[in-house]
Amino acid sequence: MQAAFQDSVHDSQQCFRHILKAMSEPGTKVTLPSIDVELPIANATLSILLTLVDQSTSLWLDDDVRQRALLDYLDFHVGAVVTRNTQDASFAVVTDIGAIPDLTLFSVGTEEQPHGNCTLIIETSFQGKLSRLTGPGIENDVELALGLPEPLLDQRQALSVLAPCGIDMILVDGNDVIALPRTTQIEVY
Amino acid sequence: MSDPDYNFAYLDEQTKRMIRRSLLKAVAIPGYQVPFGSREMPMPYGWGTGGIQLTASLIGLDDTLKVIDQGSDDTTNAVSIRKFFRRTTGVATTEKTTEATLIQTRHRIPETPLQKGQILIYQVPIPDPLSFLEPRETEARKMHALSEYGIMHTKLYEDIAHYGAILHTYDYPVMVNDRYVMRPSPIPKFDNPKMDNMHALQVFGAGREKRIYAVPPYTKVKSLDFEDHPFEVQRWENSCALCGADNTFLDEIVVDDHGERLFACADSDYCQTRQAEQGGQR
Amino acid sequence: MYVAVKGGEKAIDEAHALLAERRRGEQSLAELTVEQIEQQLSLSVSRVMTEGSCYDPSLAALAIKQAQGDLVEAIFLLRAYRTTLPRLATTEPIDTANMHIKRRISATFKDLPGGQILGPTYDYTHRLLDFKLMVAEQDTSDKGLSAELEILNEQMDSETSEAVIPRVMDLLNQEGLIEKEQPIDDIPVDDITREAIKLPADRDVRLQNLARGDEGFLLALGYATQRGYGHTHPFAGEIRLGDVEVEITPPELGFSICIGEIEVTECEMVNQFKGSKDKPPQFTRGYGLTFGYSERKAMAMALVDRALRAEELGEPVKSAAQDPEFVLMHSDNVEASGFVQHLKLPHYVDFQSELELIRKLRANDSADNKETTE
Ligand SMILES: [Zn+2]
Repeated sequence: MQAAFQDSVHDSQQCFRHILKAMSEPGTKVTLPSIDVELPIANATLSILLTLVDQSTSLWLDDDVRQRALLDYLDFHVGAVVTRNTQDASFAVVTDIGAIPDLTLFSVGTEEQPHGNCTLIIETSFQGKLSRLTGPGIENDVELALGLPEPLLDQRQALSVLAPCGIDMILVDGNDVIALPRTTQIEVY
Repeated sequence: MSDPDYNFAYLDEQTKRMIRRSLLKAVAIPGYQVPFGSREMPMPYGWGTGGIQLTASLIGLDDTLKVIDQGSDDTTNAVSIRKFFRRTTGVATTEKTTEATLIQTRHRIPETPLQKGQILIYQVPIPDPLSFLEPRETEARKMHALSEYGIMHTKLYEDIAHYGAILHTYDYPVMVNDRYVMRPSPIPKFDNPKMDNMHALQVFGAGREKRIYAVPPYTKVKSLDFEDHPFEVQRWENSCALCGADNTFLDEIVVDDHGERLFACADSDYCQTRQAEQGGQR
Repeated sequence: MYVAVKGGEKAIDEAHALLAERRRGEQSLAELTVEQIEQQLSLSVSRVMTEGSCYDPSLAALAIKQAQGDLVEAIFLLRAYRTTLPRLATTEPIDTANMHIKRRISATFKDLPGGQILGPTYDYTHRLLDFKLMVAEQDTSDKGLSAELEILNEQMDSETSEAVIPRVMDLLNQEGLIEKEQPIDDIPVDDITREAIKLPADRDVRLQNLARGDEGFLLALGYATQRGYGHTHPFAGEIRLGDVEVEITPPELGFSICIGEIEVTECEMVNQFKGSKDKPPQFTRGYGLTFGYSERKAMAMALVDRALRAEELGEPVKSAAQDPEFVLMHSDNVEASGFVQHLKLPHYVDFQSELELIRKLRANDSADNKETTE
């Protein structure tokens, strides 16, 4: 079995603080420490899973990565309950952004319990058209490339009528992470 | 060095993960109270177990921790909590607001403006702003879900009608991001304006009531008021007897048996820093 | 042939023998002495004296020993003993302003004359099991206090017990923002240990009842007020622990003499009050007093005392803690424990009657059903 964090207590604390910074300052790019493993998911995706997921959370993986080696690794190091049902997932990993399921298939929480939503970890590359982000956590506004396809952004926009329900996204490019909580508004140029 | 007999920051890793997940949700839904599996801590409920659990889930070796109670670093409970984290983490502590990465607080926001990257951790006794109007959690939850805050406005307006003013002087309710009415914890309403568009992340922990909530940086936090009765903070006729500040929250200190008093900044770091600066100038 | 159950007396004797054996525990271990309990379980002793309404540490310790540490049972024992005592005199009211202070704190002001005196408190201990206490110290005979502690004690003695430390309430009241506690000299104080409580009850009766009331019950009620069920906006104005003199005035002397000292814990809560038709906005008070060192109880008592003044202050009475009848009738753990546990006693006759009733109702039911189906 390949190794995980060298020091699980302090490495996961470090990762968490980076993720928290990303989530509380949307549009801010943070870089997670790298882990030396050969697996079909990005380094930062793995760090996020090691930091946040365990046997009390359910995890959905797209077909691209639902392979023996990764499942065994997650079973050993994370203990996650892997599900094939998007509605049950508290975390979901999308490595093939072209094949991402419709966002409405994931849980958005309920009016009384909006925190019951799914957090999507989406692998992409931070390139292409610039987006302008506004909302809580952002001083005025911030412009950057997210690398998200327009249909996905449209689906995300359509969910905004359900607020405070919604989907929180953590975008991953290699070791880099940008978070988009449901409260962030995105305008594409 | 942290005490080898205990986990780093006391909590086990699974508990930290659970609290961390809740904290991320809290940040994603500003002002919403996320339920969490609060644990028994080696301090009693009411001593800041919620804030302590948050700090324990946040703190790392690079952090510098400041703990205040009533604005001061040397109040007994602040000393006790600071000691607890020194023992269980070995992390550096400070009294300087500007040096701290994490600030755990009971009842105050420091006078020195907080910076981007800092995290302010509030100890919360009662998280739900509706609980004095509707003590049943099941009912209050529905009101929050529907943004149905009529009873809150009615209550505040009744205060004005009967007494000419809103009678909350601390724990004054706020509207966060135009969506959730939130209790700022029992800070004086003097501190409320500091919450609005604060550069630092604000997180709130209620241990006994098992709730976490948060306000991300640069988020709108508006104290509830009415057009004809705008929100106002208290002002003192006195200034600080020690540093001369005339824009801080002042503690009233009885100095003799005849009820003679003096006023001094509640924020001990702010006051001492000013005194040192004045000493240096002379 | 059926033989009716008999032999109750023998069964009871055997039960008591088993109880004594269980109380004693493992015979090879030394038996607990009453002195040890009095000295080393002193917070239990305080509670038993308070709720037992009898200031006698060694008898309270005895009760705790006899009750195997069950404090409600020990309170019951002490109460039962108290019944047997003659009343020789009535003391003057104790004066807590003249207390020899061991602890004194206020949550309302950072500093004040006399200072904040933490004294012996668990408040800022970390609740980590101290495994050093697992093993008793072998030789304690020549080990006195540590030098550090000795100095501390001396300081405490010279600083506090000599000086009279003013009560916070009196200091604060120079502005008249806190309601005055008015002594009502011409109305005799009722004694609920002598007479049944009459409702509606005045504050003297309520306070007596609360002082004897179960700590857990008052704690839950006080807590409920904090959570919105009868909120009173409380602040701990002052909590003080120390010794006060007890005085009586023998009629043949015409002046008071001191007959001894007792340790008490006093709590004064100040509560926001918005004013009413005949009272201006001000701080009102709640009061708690216990024997010995019983801070949790004193604080809970003060919260409930204030909540029970709702009607007097013109506040809406909506919650259990504000309802004098509900509180006074259910606070006494000797009463409550007895009535709850009496369900263990035989109820054959009543049960039999109920059984008959249920059978009859069911018979009627099925008769009705028959009629309708036919
Ligand atoms: Zn000052």
